[in-house]
Amino acid sequence: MARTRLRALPLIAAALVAFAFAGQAAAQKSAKDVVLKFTYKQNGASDPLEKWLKDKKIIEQFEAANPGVKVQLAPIPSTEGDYATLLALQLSSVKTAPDIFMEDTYMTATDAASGYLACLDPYLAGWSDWAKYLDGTKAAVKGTDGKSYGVPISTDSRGLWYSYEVLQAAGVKTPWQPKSWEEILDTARKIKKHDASVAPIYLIVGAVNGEGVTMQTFDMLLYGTGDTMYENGKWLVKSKGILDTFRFIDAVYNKEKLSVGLDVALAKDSGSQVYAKMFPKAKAGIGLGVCTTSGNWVPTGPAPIADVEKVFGFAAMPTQLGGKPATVNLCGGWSWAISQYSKEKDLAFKFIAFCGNKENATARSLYDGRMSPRSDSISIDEYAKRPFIKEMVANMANSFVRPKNESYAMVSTQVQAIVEELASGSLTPEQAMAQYQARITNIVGKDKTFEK
Amino acid sequence: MSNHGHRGNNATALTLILPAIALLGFFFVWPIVLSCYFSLTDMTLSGSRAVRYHFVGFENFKHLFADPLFRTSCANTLIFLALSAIIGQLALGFIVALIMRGKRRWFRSAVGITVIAGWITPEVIVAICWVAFLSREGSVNAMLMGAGILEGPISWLISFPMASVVFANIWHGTAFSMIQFQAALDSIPTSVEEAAEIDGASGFRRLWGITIPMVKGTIMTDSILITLKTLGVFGLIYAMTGGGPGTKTTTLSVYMYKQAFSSYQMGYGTAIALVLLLLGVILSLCYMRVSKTPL
Amino acid sequence: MKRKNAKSAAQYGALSLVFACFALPLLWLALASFDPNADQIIKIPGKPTLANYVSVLGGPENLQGFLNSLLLAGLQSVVDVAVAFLAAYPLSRFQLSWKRHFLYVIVFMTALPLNAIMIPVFKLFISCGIQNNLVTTSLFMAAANLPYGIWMMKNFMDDVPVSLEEAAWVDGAGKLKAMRKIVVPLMVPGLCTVLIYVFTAAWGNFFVPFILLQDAAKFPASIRIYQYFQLNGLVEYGKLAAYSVVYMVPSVVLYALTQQFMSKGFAMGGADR
Repeated sequence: MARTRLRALPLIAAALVAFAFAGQAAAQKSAKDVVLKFTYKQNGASDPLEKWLKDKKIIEQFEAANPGVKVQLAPIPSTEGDYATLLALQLSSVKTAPDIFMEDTYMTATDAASGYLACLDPYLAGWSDWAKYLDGTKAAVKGTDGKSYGVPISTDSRGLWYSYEVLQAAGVKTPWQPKSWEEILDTARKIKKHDASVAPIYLIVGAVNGEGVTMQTFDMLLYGTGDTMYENGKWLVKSKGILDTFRFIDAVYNKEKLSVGLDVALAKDSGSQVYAKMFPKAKAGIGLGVCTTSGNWVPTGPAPIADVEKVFGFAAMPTQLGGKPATVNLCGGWSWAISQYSKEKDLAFKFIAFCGNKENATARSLYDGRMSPRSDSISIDEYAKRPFIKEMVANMANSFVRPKNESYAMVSTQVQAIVEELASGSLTPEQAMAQYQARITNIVGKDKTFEK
Repeated sequence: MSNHGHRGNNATALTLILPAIALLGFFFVWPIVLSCYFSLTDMTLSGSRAVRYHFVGFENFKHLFADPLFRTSCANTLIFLALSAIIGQLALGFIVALIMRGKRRWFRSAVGITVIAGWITPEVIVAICWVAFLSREGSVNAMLMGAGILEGPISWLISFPMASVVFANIWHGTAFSMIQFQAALDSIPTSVEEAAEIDGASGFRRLWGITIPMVKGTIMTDSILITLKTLGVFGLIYAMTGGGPGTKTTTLSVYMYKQAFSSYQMGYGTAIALVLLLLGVILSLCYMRVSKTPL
Repeated sequence: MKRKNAKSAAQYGALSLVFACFALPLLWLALASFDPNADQIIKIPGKPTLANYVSVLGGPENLQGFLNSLLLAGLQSVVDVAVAFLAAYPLSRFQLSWKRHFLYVIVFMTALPLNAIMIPVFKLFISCGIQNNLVTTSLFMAAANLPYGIWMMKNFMDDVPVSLEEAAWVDGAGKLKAMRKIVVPLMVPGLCTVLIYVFTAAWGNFFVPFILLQDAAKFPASIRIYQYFQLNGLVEYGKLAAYSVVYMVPSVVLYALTQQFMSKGFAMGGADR
């Protein structure tokens, strides 16, 4: 009995292997068409980019207009941080590099320096739509050599989300616009004093949340002190601004306990826990966040809220001491890019240009709550009527983009790690700055750093 | 010359071993040689140094030994090893195998199969089960609060991160030790233990004086195998805590990944990997020395 | 007698506790997979449904993912068992001057954590142009599990008495025939043990394919599982649980087929040598 069963084992194994091979072979496309491989980050079944592609029939339209061309979707199902890693792995070889891919612009300079990205300047020169793109977004897709390596998909804007109900209950006047960091902390203290069950402030600090930690928390604070991460080709590794930044985070998470609990703050889904669960129940007061946060509250979002502009407010992030400039903003965003190894660069650009025309680019930004990179999107009704759009556009006043240096991506992951270590109590602000100096120096070399 | 009856010659032997040597040489030995070289360069995953990297001598190792996070990761690795491999899997596996002897058959099967189920569960799934189990809204809190032991929910993964990953790894790995000890205990002739019982040796003395020495060899091999397996645990910790909160569960495996693949510092990451390799070899040698058992 | 009963009860109690600790996480998995509104708590589904399974097995992507896993783990297991068997034969039977050193090298290779060599392996795959390939990835995994396979296999073979083989030679059978007719059948427990060990190691592996495969179409089940974690961090527990249950099936089946030999196999290959 046992022996016959065992005899069958190799047969079963062989059949399975053959079956799997057959599956592989079936996945191959017919050889006649020109195939453009298109890679993007896929987040679950309700991915906004996929929804846009499907609803607006982007691929079908493009294929119909370009007979003999097939766009092959090659999504990477992963978290934000892993996507950048996996994409870099793909881009490093001619065999696996996709033709077209979506890339967070913080990676642009790094990937361009390794020669993975095709320079788009010749194409952009002949593309009339390029003039309609906002200057900030054009800056974001440049490499360290000043050439352009992508077409912006989106841009974003950062600031303080707050709950009218929570602030009013604590006796804070609304609409709220703090003038300094101290005023933010002051408001938070009032919230805590009024109702200890409400989390006063949420700053994103979990390294698992990736780039958001650097941009929404570290940079939004640091750039408000008058310092920046990177000036004249050198990285700032020690300054009062950096120390004050770490002290602010420490005050919120450790010293004064004005934050959401660490279990929420360090969770993979901390953003949705705070904005889709705690905010609607008036259990959180303030969150330093990004414009896409409002996507939680739209009718199709996870926590729909009617007339949301009357329930939650958006305030610009003040500089440390106020004055001039009074507010600060960091712009990030994603881009379409083309691999250096692509054999169909002309066609690939044609596809990007199609995705980036007025109608499609604007429609896409409606799916994930980011801002359109085009100045003419505002003339499209649906976009102009989106909640908070006026505040977001006004917020672009004193805006910065992330350092254009190929080491940025590596520096940023260190920032994320240090901020988490600080917030979870493993480092004091002073130790955090010492760590910052040591780890950044390790990456870029001592001659590329400076102190203030 | 041959005490084994076979008059095999080197040529036949080499022919039979050749496929193994080819596979190991290309996919295993050569990468280790490359490791030694890469650890002396400033290679990155992307950026200009991905293509044009330089020889930097022992810079990476100098940084490494000055790096407090490296020391933290070493300490975490040893804690994880001691708690989840030695105290957890080895001891628990032995105890379960020991007291399962002489129990009713259906009972033995039920316990054995559940323990083994944990072993054949892929590590990603182990992580998912335990994250759900230990989360704030999870079953552990519900049970402890229901029993009145806890007043409010605890986020175990945040408050007790190392204990959480240790438990998950014990759950995943104990079966391996249990099976080995079951086999070893079964091979002890009952007459030996009965004789001791008649001599009036107490249960504990019987265990210490007779049973354990008789499975000494198994204890040694099992220690080596699970230690090495535990040193390499990455997916489980990465999926459960990502090495956090902060650095509280960052072991060398996780730190290597963070540096090499998340922070793109491939040269530096390789240097960490080499230390990990060395640690594996040293620990194996230690076990062999302590137990005085040859291969 | 009383004391003995108390002791026995305590032992049953302790084992029951172990049983509960090991069973509960799996219980959650099983119940949640039938629950349309599953969350992180162990509970009986209000309206049990197969919808989660239908959704998991309905899409071609998931099926492809499981097939890829089968190819990866299946091919590497077959290669491992075959190569380890061939290598174990001379290591067990022949007198070779370099045998001892070779065995030391093999044991130290089992000592190497796989993750630690992934960086050079990735670079090696790129420079040879063999990355993003299920077969080469599978071969790499075979190599990674091979040292342990050889070691176990050699120990099993040592326990097969040489005299039986010699008797066969006397009867006029060639070495190859003796190996096939005598050694292989007696080695079945050993072969099974090695097979299930290397299969489960590869089947659950996440890191190796994560680094070496780049096409989503080639991702195995261990990577595909990430689709159930949404952009906003919400997790679809019901589908995730159903996916996990399906993912566990091959290991369970393989174990069920080979388990009668497992204990025997470990005893033989055990380690008192």
